[in-house]
Amino acid sequence: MRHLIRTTAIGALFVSSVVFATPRMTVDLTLPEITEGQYHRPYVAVWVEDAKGQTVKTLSLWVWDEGHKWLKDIRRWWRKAGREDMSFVDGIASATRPAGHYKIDWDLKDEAGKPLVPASYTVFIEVVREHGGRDLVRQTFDLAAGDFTAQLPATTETGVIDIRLSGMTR
Amino acid sequence: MKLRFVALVSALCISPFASSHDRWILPSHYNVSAESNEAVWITSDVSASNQVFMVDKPVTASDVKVYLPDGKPSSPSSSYTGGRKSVFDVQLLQDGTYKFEKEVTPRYFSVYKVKGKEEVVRSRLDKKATAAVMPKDAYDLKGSLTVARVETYVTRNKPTDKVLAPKGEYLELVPITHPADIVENEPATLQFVYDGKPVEGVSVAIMKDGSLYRNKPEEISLTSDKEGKVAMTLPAAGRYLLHASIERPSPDKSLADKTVSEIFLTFEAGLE
Repeated sequence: MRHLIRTTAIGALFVSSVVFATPRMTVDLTLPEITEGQYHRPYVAVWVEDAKGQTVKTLSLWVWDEGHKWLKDIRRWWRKAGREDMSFVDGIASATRPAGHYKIDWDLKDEAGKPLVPASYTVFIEVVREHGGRDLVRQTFDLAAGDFTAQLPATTETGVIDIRLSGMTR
Repeated sequence: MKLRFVALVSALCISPFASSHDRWILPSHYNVSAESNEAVWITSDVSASNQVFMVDKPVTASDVKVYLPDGKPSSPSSSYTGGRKSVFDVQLLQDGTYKFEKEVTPRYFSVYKVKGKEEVVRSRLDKKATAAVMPKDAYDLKGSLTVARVETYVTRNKPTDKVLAPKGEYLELVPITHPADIVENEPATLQFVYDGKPVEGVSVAIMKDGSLYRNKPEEISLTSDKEGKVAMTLPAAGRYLLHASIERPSPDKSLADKTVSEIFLTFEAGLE
């Protein structure tokens, strides 16, 4: 098993050096500095849905390590992905982050590790803050249409978000 | 034949028992997340009112049934009856969807008039029993059977379907769109069945919370189609009260002329 992992890791390393052969999406997320009111680090979920609204992959889940009580407040993510399988949630959850820039990389594979079929998808970013607001922003993209870059304007709870799909076209 | 039909229709339209108050169960939470070993408290208000969710009449909570996600009936852990509302508490231990429901008790009501007197005399007995006790010069005896369901759904973690199934008696509401998945600006479908079969022509009124702070009730009115279904797309997230009703001629005319079956469902439309 360990041998297999090592082989796969080497394989991944090799593939990543061939830039054009690794289609990927990068979400460049900014959590803005908020100085007004009582500040708590936000709960953040970044995930992808297909054209029917079915979750394909949760890319990031940043929550307090305080049990599951508040997961429901990341409302759309909870309805679409979170409530389905709590052990999956435990597996992907990580700690909340302070204001700043974060790069989220996605290899265009679904939760089962299979590459996505070329079709239309939407990436969602949901940011919820205790005693603060909630913003849900989204970007639809078509894997069949190739590379793109998009910039989502800032909201109260999110700074400008850059989304880049690369490696689809040569 | 036509005349008789008209007479029957007009008799059905006179509804001296029509309750002017909506009854409802308003839970504190509709969807909760929790760890497997955690018990989650839900507290609910029970009241009857003209304004949506403005507590007014102390409808009892002592007869509330709690259907667990595995289908087993249970009871609230405690309840209280106050001057304007009742309250009951339930601890959610299982994952899945619970149904809170006030006990369904079909009730007979009859009315008649007495010669020389203006007002209508009301009776809580069926027609036969009322006929036996009413004065000799009474006339115009009419009776109805009313069945009211007062219900709501609460989900802990992943929603389940077991408690959504109809029991097969009188009017029932089957959520095609799961109550945990009703969301603003997204289409949702509900189905109505009568004695377990889809029923057309059910009048449905949907009212959003906060009518006290609006000049107009802003009620959404719908009627069930041939499959017993109504489709709705709610324009805003929030708590809603649904009132559905249908009148049918009673199977046993000696006891009641008509059967009035109604449902009061409280639900939440989530944020997108």
